[in-house]
Amino acid sequence: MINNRKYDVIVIGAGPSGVSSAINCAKKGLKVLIVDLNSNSGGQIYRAPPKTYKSISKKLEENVIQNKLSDEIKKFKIETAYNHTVWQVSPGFKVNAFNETSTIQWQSKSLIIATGTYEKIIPFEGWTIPGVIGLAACTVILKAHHFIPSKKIVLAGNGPLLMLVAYYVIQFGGKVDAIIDTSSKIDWIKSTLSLITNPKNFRDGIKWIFKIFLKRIPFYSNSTVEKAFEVDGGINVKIRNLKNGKAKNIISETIAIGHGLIPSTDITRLLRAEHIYDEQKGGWIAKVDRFLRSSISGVYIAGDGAGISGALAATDKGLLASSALLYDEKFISQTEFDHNTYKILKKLDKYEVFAKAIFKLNSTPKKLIESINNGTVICRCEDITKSEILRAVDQGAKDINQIKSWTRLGMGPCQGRTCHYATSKIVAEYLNCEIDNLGYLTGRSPIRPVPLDRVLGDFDYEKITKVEAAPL
Amino acid sequence: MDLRVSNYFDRSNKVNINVNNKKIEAYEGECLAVVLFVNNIKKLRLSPKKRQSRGMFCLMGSCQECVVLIDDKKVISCNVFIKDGMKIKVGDFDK
Amino acid sequence: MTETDVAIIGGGINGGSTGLELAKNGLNVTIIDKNFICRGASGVNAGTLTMHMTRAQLIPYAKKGWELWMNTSEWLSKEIDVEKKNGLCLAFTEDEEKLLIERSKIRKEYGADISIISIKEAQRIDPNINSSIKCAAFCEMDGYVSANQTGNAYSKALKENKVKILENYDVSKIDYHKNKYVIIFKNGEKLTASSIILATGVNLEKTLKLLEINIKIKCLPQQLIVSERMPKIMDTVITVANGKLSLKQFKNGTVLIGGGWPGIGNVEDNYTETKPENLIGNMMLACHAIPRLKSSRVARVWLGLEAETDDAMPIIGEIPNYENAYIIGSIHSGYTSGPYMGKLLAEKILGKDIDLSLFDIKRFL
Repeated sequence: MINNRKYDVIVIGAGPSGVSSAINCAKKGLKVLIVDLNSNSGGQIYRAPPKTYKSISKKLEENVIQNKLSDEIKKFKIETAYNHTVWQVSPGFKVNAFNETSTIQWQSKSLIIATGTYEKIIPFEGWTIPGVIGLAACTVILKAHHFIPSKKIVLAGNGPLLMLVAYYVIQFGGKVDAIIDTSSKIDWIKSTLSLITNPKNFRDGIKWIFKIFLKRIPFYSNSTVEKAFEVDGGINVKIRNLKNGKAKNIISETIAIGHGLIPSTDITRLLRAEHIYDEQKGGWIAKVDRFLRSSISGVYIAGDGAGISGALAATDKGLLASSALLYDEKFISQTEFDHNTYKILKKLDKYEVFAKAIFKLNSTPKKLIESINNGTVICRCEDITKSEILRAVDQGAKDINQIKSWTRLGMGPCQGRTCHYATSKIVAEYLNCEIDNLGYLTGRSPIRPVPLDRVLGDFDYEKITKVEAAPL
Repeated sequence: MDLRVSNYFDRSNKVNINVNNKKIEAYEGECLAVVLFVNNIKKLRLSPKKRQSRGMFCLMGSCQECVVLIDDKKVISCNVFIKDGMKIKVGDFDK
Repeated sequence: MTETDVAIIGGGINGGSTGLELAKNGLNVTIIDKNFICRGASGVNAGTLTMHMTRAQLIPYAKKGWELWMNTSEWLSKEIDVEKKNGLCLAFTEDEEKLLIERSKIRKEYGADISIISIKEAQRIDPNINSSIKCAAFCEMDGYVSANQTGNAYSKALKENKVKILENYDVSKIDYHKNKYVIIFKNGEKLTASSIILATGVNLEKTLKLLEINIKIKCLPQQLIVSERMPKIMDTVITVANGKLSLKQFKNGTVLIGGGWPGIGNVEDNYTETKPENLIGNMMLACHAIPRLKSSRVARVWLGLEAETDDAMPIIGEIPNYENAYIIGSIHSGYTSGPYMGKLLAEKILGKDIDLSLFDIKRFL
């Protein structure tokens, strides 16, 4: 139970960067609270298995790392609020979150936002049918929940996650019917030199590819899922080669698709921080200085929220952001700050080489955007199709907020998180303009839909705040 | 075929949940969205305008596609852990 | 340098309705907005079209405005959802009952067809309301418009009537000589007009300064809350005795909670921020009125900046000491009457004998 609701710093997100920044602050005696919607630390990358799972001798590496994070939080006696979904953050700072029964508000002098990323998924006709899931969702099913999603699966999209998921599906006894990659084999070969800068991940990658090769999994390069529809016993997947236009149909049970990651900017947009568009860093990101200070005093961004650099860099980015906080709040001297950050910055520069190579493999080809059919639903929450978006543009909507207001795109419960990136790409492509010119969706509370009964609890009419009557 | 991977962890107790009045076996504490998915209960709700079936998608609490009714309350099933006797409604519950 | 007959600064419902009427009567009109058409208060409004919240003196205008809204396909566009609904104004305590009876009586004197009804009658009109009410006021003339669609609807109608729209044009200076106005924009461009209309909503105080007129316009940051889509839980527009709740369910199933519970905001930076305690108060009041609402999830909260004069009455009409300069704005609960107010001003400009003395700006000078 949390009794005292005031903290020096609240860290939102208990992934590796959130945890490292929380520990860094706790070591200097700051009163820290770490909040996460999941039931444990680890974030998405080291997502913890459910609490009821009892480990037997063998362990996945990710689960080992997660255990370590969990132990460290305990060791430094950091207060945690797991199973709490943050729905509102206001200046000052006030953080509101709900759990299974009610909502709670905490206050803090500083904020570290370590909310990571979502998966970038470029829509195709049929991406809304049940049985089409994210590649990242697939890794969570495999590595945190220890299931294979179905007997047979098609993996599509791009980047190293394709290989990782394929490896684990095979390892766990499933069958990969096909891997469909928008990149070419040459793209992969070209990236080798950069990827090798990180020997550990490079070795993993080789292991994954070797397994895929051994199993002779059909591999479609330069290709995408153009269309999917339900058939008896599964999903018909229409594969289209983006270079030569050739098409092929296969039938599988599940499609897992993903095209990289998008930084989470819900909280920084809500706080009206400055944002910039940087395709290479994942799209719209909060503007930060070298030490990860946002444009709002007291708000720091750890992890991938202000640009994708990957899991390896997460811990260091957490240290960097928290060092800036400790220095700004006069908990460490200039000398200590310089000393601490010098090494981190050097290490992060190295990780950037790796991150850039990954970005290239996860880039969004122009042809992929062009290949989206007009009837394809883009905004899943409100069922808004590509042609409805383009119609609003034809009628004179000039930025993404106008498109939202005229079509209801992004007005549903996901607040545009799932379709923002693709919509920007589609419209920029159509108007032949820069995505910057279209702006980004204004941040709105609640960050996640809030059940009214949990916010309000039981109340008497007399207890409702009285406000001045409107003039007659 | 049971799609559970049991090389690394032992599950907890076997329990029953109730999905649209049908009994489904699962282990206590497993993720509801995943259990429904592997039991081939993929169609969780209908989309608002086109009334198309939708199901689990992002599995990280962002997309809101996996909403179901538990004890008549709307929740995202990817953030729910199985408890014995849970009553779940999927499908056209939003009408 | 381009020229126009009439330059309207501010592309909301006031400016848009005035411009549309002028253009339909053959004038060459240019509408200027520092952002986009209907992206300010007009686009983020709760869109309630009710007599229960209208200031008594404005009832005759609101009635005319309501008729216009119910006929948008004729004068504006087909692409805007407007619904006629019954309006119920609820009283939960004895004090509120007294207030409701008193206020309804005065509104009725000004022409609103409002009657006080019993719990039973109220429940027959909408069985979903809280059964613990003391009484309700009923008015058939109620409903709502989907405010988010006004931008599209007005843009389309204005274009069809050959109104020139300048979006993202911020006015930095207005020069006046030889009965002509030269409007100078921040981007360096200029526009000459024979006549100008100021319709900048909450920015009117700043815009009036360009003509060296100083008037206080208050900025009220109003919070709005919308639920995700849900099954039909109500069939009326609900308001309360003191005017601090507007509640309705749109055709798409979302429920909008409004009523002007203040958040935080300022017009200088166009900044807004929610005030959680007021959100909660507003939500509680809504759930008290329609208990089933409590099972929904809030999908979105946003704010709009409403303009209000010191006496909470509009300013509409000629600007003194200038030829052919007009103003329209600060219409309290003005969504209902807005289109009619614009039409009236346009008719006055076109030479009709329209009495706008109630709204004369001179009362503040």
